[in-house]
Amino acid sequence: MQIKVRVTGHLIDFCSVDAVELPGGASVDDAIGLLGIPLDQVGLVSVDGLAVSKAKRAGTVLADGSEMVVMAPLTGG
Amino acid sequence: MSWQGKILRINLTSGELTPEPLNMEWAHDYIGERGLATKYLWENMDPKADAMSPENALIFATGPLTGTNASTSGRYAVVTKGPLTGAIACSNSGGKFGAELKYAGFDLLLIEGRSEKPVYLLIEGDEISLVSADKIWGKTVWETDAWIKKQHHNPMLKIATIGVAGERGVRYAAVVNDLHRAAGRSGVGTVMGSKNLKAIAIRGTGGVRVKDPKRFMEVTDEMKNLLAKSTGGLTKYGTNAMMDTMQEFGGLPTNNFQQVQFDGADKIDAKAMLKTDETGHTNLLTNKACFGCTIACGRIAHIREDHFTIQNRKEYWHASGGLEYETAFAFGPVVGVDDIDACTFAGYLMNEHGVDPISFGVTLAAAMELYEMGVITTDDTDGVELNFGNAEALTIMAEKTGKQEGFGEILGMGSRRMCEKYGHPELSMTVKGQEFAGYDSRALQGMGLGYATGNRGACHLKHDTFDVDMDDQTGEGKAEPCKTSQDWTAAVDSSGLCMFTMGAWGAPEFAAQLDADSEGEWTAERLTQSGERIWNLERMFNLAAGLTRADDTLPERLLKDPAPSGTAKGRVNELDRMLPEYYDLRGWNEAGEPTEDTLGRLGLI
Repeated sequence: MQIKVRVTGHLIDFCSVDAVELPGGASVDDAIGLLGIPLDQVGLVSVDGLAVSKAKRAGTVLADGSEMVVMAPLTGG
Repeated sequence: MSWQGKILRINLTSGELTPEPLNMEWAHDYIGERGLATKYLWENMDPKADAMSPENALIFATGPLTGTNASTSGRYAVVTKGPLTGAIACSNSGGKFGAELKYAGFDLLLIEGRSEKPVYLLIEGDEISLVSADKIWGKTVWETDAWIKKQHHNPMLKIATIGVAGERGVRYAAVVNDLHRAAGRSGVGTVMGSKNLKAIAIRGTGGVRVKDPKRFMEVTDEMKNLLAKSTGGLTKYGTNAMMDTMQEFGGLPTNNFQQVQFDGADKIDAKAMLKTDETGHTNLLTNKACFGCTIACGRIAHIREDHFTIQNRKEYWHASGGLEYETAFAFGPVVGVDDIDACTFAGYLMNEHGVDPISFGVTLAAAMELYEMGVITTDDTDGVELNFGNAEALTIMAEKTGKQEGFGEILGMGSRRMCEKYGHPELSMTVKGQEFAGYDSRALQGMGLGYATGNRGACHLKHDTFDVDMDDQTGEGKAEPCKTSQDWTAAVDSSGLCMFTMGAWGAPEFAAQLDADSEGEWTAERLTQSGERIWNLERMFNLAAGLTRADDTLPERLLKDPAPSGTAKGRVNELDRMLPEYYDLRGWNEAGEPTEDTLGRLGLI
């Protein structure tokens, strides 16, 4: 399956693609790992506009055509 | 230790300049910078005094690590009673001025009274004097900096000054140092102007001594290495890297907080600053570091010479301070403008005239809403159509506010006073009279609690709940991280180092550097408790000034109007749920007053 991907902030240094092929049943964490984004540099992920907390990422299964946004952490300033 | 052990008391009424020993007991209890200045303020003025009166005190303070070899050691704080809020005002800055003050042999400047005529303070080696500012009163920040250096034949002077905004009572005037860095928030420049003090110019030729030089070098080297691995793109992208995150998250205040996402965000974000346009122009030229900083998040930008803002104004055809997240927010989404050159120019004007960009932008946003409602018209706005998204209106009003001309005088009142004047206080996006930063507290619940309880009014820099706010968009469990991070941020702000290190360094890392630097046993626990002491003393100042629990609140828009889009769509801020828990954790009673037990535990009675 294929999902659409956007990243924010400095995460563009890890990921410049806008889509990724994943095996069926892949989770949010699987997708982040495949994209090469360090998990400790992820602030929040949303899937189809809904926030997915850190605790729920590994258990959230993506669907073909989903849109995943991987957001950098906020730092203030 | 890196303390010089000396402060300078400046009585502007009498003209007396009196060096005094630094109160080391206070330095031990309040760390330095923000905390130490708060203690000096508490002991040297009546909190009920009018902020613009000679009875207010104005304090410039360094931290124990300011001017040392530690990374980001250029920080200093300006602390006073704020003219925007009537609460304590604490604003800190980087650049080189803070380290220079330390090298001139002073840890802190305590400024009292009011000069009969405009003056500036000159500290040049052993010579300290108050000099007539007749020839620079009415000059911009940039003109003042150049004039003083030329007058004293000393390009090495480091200068902190106000612009016309501070002279003429803009309630959120800034103190700008080193041309582009500012103690920007809470009107500390307004107080400086009310004292007829135009500038402070310093050349220091001394150094600092640390307690254990070998250990200090080892630990600061280790900390720099740690920092290099953890800056999260700040060096390359600056703080404006947060713009697209806030846009995706749905916490980007737009059109005076009526929306939480802005269609034009990608035209003014960090990637837009790096993009080369069809003419070959790129907004961002380079980054810049403050004194001793190994992050270098500062932006240096330039504007297209054919852009409407500067096409006939060659004096602006140069590189200058570029957009950071807060300036991009204040000139962009909150006023609906997506013109990167107009936003950059507005930023130039803020530095040139000495104005807080956040308060200006959010005040202008309220004026734009008043205009679109028909409450004010072009008859009020000097003929300018004040619609959201009007980039020309943004830059015209930025200049009018900086120079205090026409409708700029109204904007200079700040959002709360302006909205009250026009009969719509509900449009003022403020806490205690100070305007919000670029985070909507319907999406960031802990941020809302931090705003509501901020001792200097709405402020995003005095707590750090970003991680928990991103991960969970309810109010549950936000009181504890808000309280804990407020205390910790107070400690960091008092150290002489920059809070942008907080992602890499926790309490043990700060304590290790401070312990190698200064006498006394500095531990993580002691630092954290000192931070709590500082927070509570600030609170005591505010209570003594007349503020109450009723001031710990948010505008109804954030409490009753659900976020219209984004990941927090449908949510309002849950302040009513968080605030009682927060007071309880603080050891405060239901009125928001520290109990005797709390004050006793912190050594405040």
